[in-house]
Order: sequence, then structure tokens, then C-alpha cells
Amino acid sequence: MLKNYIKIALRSLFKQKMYSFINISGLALGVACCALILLYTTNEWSFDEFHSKSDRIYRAWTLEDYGEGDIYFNTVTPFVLKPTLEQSIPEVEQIARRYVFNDLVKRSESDESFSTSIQAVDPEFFSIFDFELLRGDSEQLFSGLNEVVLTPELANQYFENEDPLQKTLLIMMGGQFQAFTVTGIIEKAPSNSSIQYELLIPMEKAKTILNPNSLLNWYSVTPETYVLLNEQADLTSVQAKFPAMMEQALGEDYNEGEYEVGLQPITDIHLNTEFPVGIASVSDPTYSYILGAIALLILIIACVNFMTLSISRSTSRAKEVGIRKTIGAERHHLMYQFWGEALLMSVFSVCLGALLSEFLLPYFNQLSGTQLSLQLSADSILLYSGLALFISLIAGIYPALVLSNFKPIEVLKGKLQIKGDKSLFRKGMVVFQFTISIFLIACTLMVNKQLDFLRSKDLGFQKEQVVILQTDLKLGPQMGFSQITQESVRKKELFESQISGNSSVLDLASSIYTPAQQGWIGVDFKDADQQTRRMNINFVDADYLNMMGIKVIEGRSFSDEITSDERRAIIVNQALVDDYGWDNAIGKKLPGSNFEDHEIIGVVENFNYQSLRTVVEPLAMSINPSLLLSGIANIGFFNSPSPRISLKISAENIPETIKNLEQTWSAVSPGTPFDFQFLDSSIDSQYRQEERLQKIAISGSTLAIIIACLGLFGLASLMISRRVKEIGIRKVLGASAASITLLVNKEFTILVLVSILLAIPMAWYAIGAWLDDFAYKADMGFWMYLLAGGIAISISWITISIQSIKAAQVNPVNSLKSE
Amino acid sequence: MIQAKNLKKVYSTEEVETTALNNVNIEIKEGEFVAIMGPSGCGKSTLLNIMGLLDNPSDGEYHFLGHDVSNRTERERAQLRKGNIGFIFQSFNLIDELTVFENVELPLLYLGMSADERKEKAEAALERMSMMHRRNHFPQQLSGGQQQRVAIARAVVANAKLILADEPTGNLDSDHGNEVMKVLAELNEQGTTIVMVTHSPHDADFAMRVIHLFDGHVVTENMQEGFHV
Repeated sequence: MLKNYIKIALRSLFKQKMYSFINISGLALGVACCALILLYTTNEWSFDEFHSKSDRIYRAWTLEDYGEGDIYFNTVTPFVLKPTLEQSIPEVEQIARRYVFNDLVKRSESDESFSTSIQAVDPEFFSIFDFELLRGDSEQLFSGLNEVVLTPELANQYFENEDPLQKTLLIMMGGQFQAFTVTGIIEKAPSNSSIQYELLIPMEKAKTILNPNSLLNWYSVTPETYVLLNEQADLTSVQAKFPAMMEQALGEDYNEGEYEVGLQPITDIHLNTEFPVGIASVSDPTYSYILGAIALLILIIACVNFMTLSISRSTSRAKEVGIRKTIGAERHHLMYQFWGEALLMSVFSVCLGALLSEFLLPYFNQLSGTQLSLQLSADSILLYSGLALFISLIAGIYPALVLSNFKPIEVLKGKLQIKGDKSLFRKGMVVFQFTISIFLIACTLMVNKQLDFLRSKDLGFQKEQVVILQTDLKLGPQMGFSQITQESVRKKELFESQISGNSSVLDLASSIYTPAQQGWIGVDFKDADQQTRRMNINFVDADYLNMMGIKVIEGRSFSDEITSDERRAIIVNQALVDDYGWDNAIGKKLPGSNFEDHEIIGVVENFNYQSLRTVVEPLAMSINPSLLLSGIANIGFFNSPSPRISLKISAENIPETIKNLEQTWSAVSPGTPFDFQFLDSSIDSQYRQEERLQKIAISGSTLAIIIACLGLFGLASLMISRRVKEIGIRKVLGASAASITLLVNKEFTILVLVSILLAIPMAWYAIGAWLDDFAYKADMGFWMYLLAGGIAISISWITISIQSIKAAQVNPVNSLKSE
Repeated sequence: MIQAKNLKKVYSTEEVETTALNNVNIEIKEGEFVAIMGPSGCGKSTLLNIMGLLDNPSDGEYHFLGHDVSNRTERERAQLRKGNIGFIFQSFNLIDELTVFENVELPLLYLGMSADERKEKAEAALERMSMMHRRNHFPQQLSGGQQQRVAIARAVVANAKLILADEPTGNLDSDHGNEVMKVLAELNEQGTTIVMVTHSPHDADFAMRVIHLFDGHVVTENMQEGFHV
């Protein structure tokens, strides 16, 4: 019996090649898309679970709360937290800290150096985590200070085909190159690890270049601290011991509730956006929800397709049902048969979809910015089988229940009336598919528009043709803010004198930060009225505002001619003036009137130095760092301050200009890499996640509309096959082919119009929720929704017309004879 | 074998009620060959469908093999139909996706027979209809007469006691039609009861008895003397 079913199923598959192709390819596309997105989301949701002790590993956090919103919440911690925890908490098995900075690394004195991400870790790093040590002795690792452990990729970069073990590597530490011996090779962290690294050095070594005060201070936070609790430990009771620990550690500085310490499970880090970002990368779970929803919608559309196409095929299967019933088939036989066919088809589609997803994976990785790989595991086989079963159950339900219920004499006499034909079921399916498609199209259009808006919005400064050069100057024990700013100005001037003959460089200036660098220096302080205020600060040279085209709306800009500017001048933005509620800011003092020398000389228009997700925050700029740093209680920065030189270049022959700049750079700053970027592209890169969403939304909505149209194509053919007689009669009575095409198209157009009405509020709501993330939003005109609807209507018209024009041209003699 | 008393069948749509059969009384004994004749729309096919348990009468009694089957469910009728009744249609009604052999084998599949048994019986039926050489062909590859012979093989393969034929020669030329009629007559000689609906007086000559229907009524019932073989 089974053999017979399979035979029939296969033969009818081949007999109706068009339907089979539409059905299988639609489902396969849906499955491939779903599989890829599922892969992405499982990767997102399984971050850090690969550590065998992941249920016992926690990241420590600190929360300082001094009341009145004066709160400092951090997932980077004081250095001193590790020894304190080890002494006071018996449940602690091991602790590893990690701290990341960028500096130059080279193989030997004569070699070129590369800016590399350097990670200082405690030796426990190698036993707490499951990162695989490929070479070296994990017990002995980091017993010496000048040891370094590399990933195979980095080792290959420096040593190529040589054996890297016991070789020497020079690493810039505290302003000079120091020799390190390679004592281990460690496998690169998997893509679903929040801890990533390429070069590891001992924490004890890194401590030698840090300010000794910061190593003992509870208020200076630098490394992430990972704690491994023992197997018996209970998190709640461990955390209950922290207040007492802090009381002992802080002594008389301790006030209850002011300084809290806590533990966050390592597996919670990746998708928890409520904790502040530490060193480990964090991802917004919203995007995996959005992706998951797109995948599910596409799969549902494909399943609905399967159903509608099965109904449309049912007229041609009706005779078979009639014959089978007359010669003895019972209803359950036919139900099994149709369900079996659906299963066969879905297994086929799922297999094809799995192959397709393998083929599409590289494109998907590009689209989503991931490095995922598909592995055939027991899990994935189970998943695919489950998917096939699920699809066949859903997709086969209509043919199994409705076809098997045909009355044999009716179908054999050609009196067939498919049940549900008059009901809303079939129309509901079309409306459902198109609502989803239009929703996706509308969302895609909106995302496009918002991104265009973000890219083209006037940010209040010049962003085109600005090249930014990263200096090698870094804040450290040897160099304070004053030194690095002075040194940076000196470099700029040297650079300027070298390049003076070059007409392609129009202007240049130096600053500690440039726009699009996340978080300039953020400071908190108490003003003259003891009110806590927040602002961002930046140190710039006298030319910076002018060069960047930032508009001064009150007072004046910095000037080289006025020597007092370096001693006392501060320029603020309008947002700061508004924050203080000043009518006239010129002459006012910062942080308060008690700082007689810190005088505001100008106010600039608000310019978007941060991403457009946030409104412009209060900002103060000065030439002299001490002006803005004295009287400040708290300083925080995401990126360690490192001066940059901004150059305005002419639009002509940019590659040649860059080449000239590089040559000049090697003369001005020998031995440091020529690390440049275009300001406009680094501004655009702030919206990478949105860009990814845009690309995925475009692909998703295209796929959805293709699949929906495949279904529409099938349905139109069903409807036309039922109206063959009507069309024949109309033609005999003189109807033109055009009027018949119109007649058929009209019915579907109404359905698409209904879908537009349903999709608009859905899209309006979804887009509104997404736009809430942005302080600056594009105007979402109503015409966008109409455009989405228009696209859907046009595509559906093309689809239906292929069938209806064909039907309208059939000789009526043939269609009437067939009745 | 078949007893129909006061059979009535009414088809109703939303606005119109059509009486297809009205007070039909028929008795058919085992081994008989009965032809039903009458103009289009007189209720011939309706009567055949009720006899074949494909449809229930609206009123009246219908006994098949001693069972009262006037008001059975679809499922019960299907059970009784299986193996007892074979159908032959004007348009053959073979399944296009199955080969000749597979078409003939199908009723046995629904009877749950083993593969060996099915093979034996289906081959015997095909042999009987002289269609063995075409066993692996698909219906579209056969002539009309051959297709009808396959349909007959399928009707008899499960040793049906009753064969209902609805204008079995309607789609055939006279040569092929004759051939099919001879096969039916042979089957009848071997003991199978046959009820046949036909327009053709020539075909009706093969039957022992001819029932004439008009507007849903039985008008005449003639015993034929010395029918042809």
C-alpha cells in the first residue's frame, strides 16, 4: 500500500512539473531561510555555553550609588577585587581578570610593527575557560612575567612557517618595546564566545605599566573579573556575603548600600543589554527576535502556499479520489495517502532547503556579519525531521481532510464542488500571505528611509573628505592629558610643515576624539549649587572647530593669536547652555563660579558628535586639558584617549593623496603604523547593525513576496480552471480578452487591497517601536505604506495576468467542450 | 440479490427540487444480466449509483445481498461495496498515474491482500481479458477498447458478485464496443450478475431482461427471449 502511495505521489509530482516546482521550491526557500536564521539565533542564544563549567562561571560587577542619580554601574571592576574575593569568599574556586588594550607589536627591532589587541590575563584564565591550548604547558603558563600566548592565526602572521614556540616578540609597553617569549599557542575563541583574543600576556606584567594607585583603588575600574565558584556554591548565599566583604575592604569609607558587588552568569552576558558593556561584546536581542520573526513568517507563507496549491491541484486529483472510493478505498486510506504525499513533498523540500542553506551560508554570513558554519549533527537531523513533519502536518491538513471527503459519484460526474470554496478560507489564505508580504515590504522601505536619513542628515559639521589619522600617543603613567595633547599638537605642526607643499591637503587640526567615536570623555561634577551635572569633554587645538566647520553661534572660536585661550578658554555647545539654563553663556565659569580661570568664550551650535540614536548631550571643549579636568569628581571613557589628526583633503585623486599622506606620516612618526579612516565612513559604521537589518529585511521581504506570488500563481490557475466555462461563454457572447483578464484580476486585487489595510497598522506599530531607539527619526510619510501596497499590487497583477491572459485567449470551443 | 421497493431520489438545490427516481420497484436475481434503458435524464445513472451503494435513496427500501442498505453511512456502504461490486464506466476511469497492472491490483490493495496474492489475482484477471501483454503500459498508451478491458479486469479482479456498467460502450467504436459486450456476456455466463445502463438497443440485446425508465418511473420490463452470445 505504502509503495503504491509513494509511486502515485512521485508520478503525480513528475506529471505536474509546474506545480511540483512551485511547491517544492517555495518550501525549500522557506526552509533554507528558516534554517539559516535559526542557526544565527541559536548561536546568539548559546553564547558562552561551550565552557564545561559555564554554569559556575560568573562575571563580577560593581554598583556605586551615592544618591541623587549619582550612580556608577560597571562590569569592569577594580583590580583589587580578585584578592579580596579570594580571601573573603570560601566558595570561590578560581578567579581570572582580563584587560584589553591596543599597542604595537613587532618581531624584531628592524621589523614593521602592527597595532594589535593585547589582552592581559591571570594564569587561571587557562583553567577556568575551555579555550583549547594547542601547544605549551597550561600548568606552567605565565609563571614568568615576559611570556606571551598567541592564536595560530597571529602566530602565523608574525612567524609564518616557523615554529613560534620560544621565539621572541617585541610588544610596546609603557612607551617602549619589551621582549616577550612565546610559551603557548591557543585556539581562537569560537564565534559564540563573548571573550575573544589574539595575544595574551600575564596580568602581572600589565600591572607594571599601570598607575600603581589604580591597582589598589576601589574607585578605579579596569579589568573584567571572572569568578569560578565551586560545585557546592549557591549564588544567593555567596552574594549575601559581599556587603560584609566590602565593609571590611573599604573600612571607614564604607556606607551601607553605596558600594555593591554582584555576579552575572557568563551565559547571560551576550544578550543582556541592561548591564553596562564591559570588555565582552554584547548584542541587542531585539535583532535576533526580529530575525526569528522574519524566518517564521516566511516559513508560514511557504506552508500556506503548500496548502493553497494543494487545493488548486485537488480538482485534478478529484477523479482519482472518485475512482479509488468506488473500488473500495475508505476515507482513512485517502487521508493517509494525501498526508503521505505531503510528507514526501516536505521531506524533499526540507532536504533541498538544507542543501540550499549550505549553499547560501557564505552570503548569509556576509549579510549578518557572522562566521557560522552548518554541521550535520544529531540535533540538526532531529530539527530537520521535525520541520518536515511539522510542515507536512500543516500543509497536508487541507488535502487530507477535504479531498478525502469527496463524494465519488459527484466527482465522477464532474459535479464537484470543493467545500470551502465559497467560504473565506481560500481568500483568507491569500489575504494572510499578502498581509505578511506587504508588512515586510513596508518595514523594509521604512528601514531604508531611516538609514538614508541617518546618512544624509546634516550633523552640524563637515564629514566629507575628512581623513583621520590615529597617533600612537596614549594616556598612561608616563603621559598625562597635557603631555599627549601638547605632543599631538607638535606632531600636527610637524606634519603640517612637511605637507605644506601639497595642495590636496586643505586644512588640518588635532583633537583627542573625533565624531563617531563612541563616548567622548564623560565627566560628572558638582556645580556651584552642589547639583550633580554631566557633560562630555574633548580637547582640541585652536584650529579644530574652524576646520570641521562647526558653527559658533555666540562669542568666538579659539584663536592662535589670543594666547590666553590656551590658559583659560572653554567653548561649550548649546545643549550645555540649555542644561544650565543660561541666557548668556559668555563669561560664565565651568565647573562653577569658583573656577575663576575657566571661562566660556563661545557657544557652538549643537552638532551630532555621537550616533543619532542619542540627542546631543552637553559638551565642553578646551585646548588645555587641566581647564576641564580640575574640579571634576568622576571621569569615564570607553576608548582610552589617544589624539588624532583630522585632515580636510580635496576631492580629486584621493588615492594619490592618501599615498602622499602615508609617506609624510612615516617621516613624522617613524615606526608607527599609518592608521587612517575617512570620517564619513566611520560615522556610517555606527549604523552597521541597522544596515544588516536592512539587508536582511530586503532579502526577507523579497523572498516572502516571491513565495506569496508562487502561491497566487497557483491559486489564479485554480480559479481560472473553475471558470473555464464562464470564460468560454463570455467569449462566445463577445467579451474581449482584455475584459476577461480584468475580470479575473479584479477578484484578487480586492484581496490584496484588504491585505494592505491589514498590513498598514501592523507595519506602523512595528516601525514605531524600532524607531524609538533613535533620537532623530525620518518622517514616515503615509505614501510609504501606499508604495508598499502598490508594489504588492503590481507584482500580484503580473503574476495573475500570466494566467488570466492565457485563459482569455483560449478558443471558447475548447473550453465549452471540456465541460 | 437486489430488491428495491418504492425507491425515491430527490435532488434539491437552493431553489429547485428535481425528482430523479419515483417509486421504483426492481428485483434482480443472482446470475441475471439486466439492461436499463431510457432517454437522457430519466434516472438511469441515479438508479445504478444507488444499486452500487455509491448513493443513498431519499426514500424507499433497498436490499443488497439480504442487507437493508437504504440508509447506511458512507463508511458502511464502502465496506459492503468492497469485493462485492465492480464498476465499469463509460469513460473507463482508470488512474492515469498507474500502470495497467497497478490499476487492476488496486481493489485488492484496499482489501488488504498480500503482494503475492495480489499478483496472482491481477494477472489472472488480465489474462482473462487478454491484456497481460500490456501490463506495464499506462492507460494513455492504450486504445479505448483496451482501456475498457482493463477497467473490466479491475471490476472482476476481486471476484465481485455484481458488476454495474454505466454505458460501457459509449466511448467506443462499434468493433471495440462489440468486443466489450462479448466479454460482459462471457462473465455473465460464468455466473457474475451484471446490471448495465445503455442507450444502445444493440447492447441491450445482450441482456436477459431490459428495464425501461422514463422520468424516474419504470415503464416496462421485458424478458428477452434467446439473447445472443
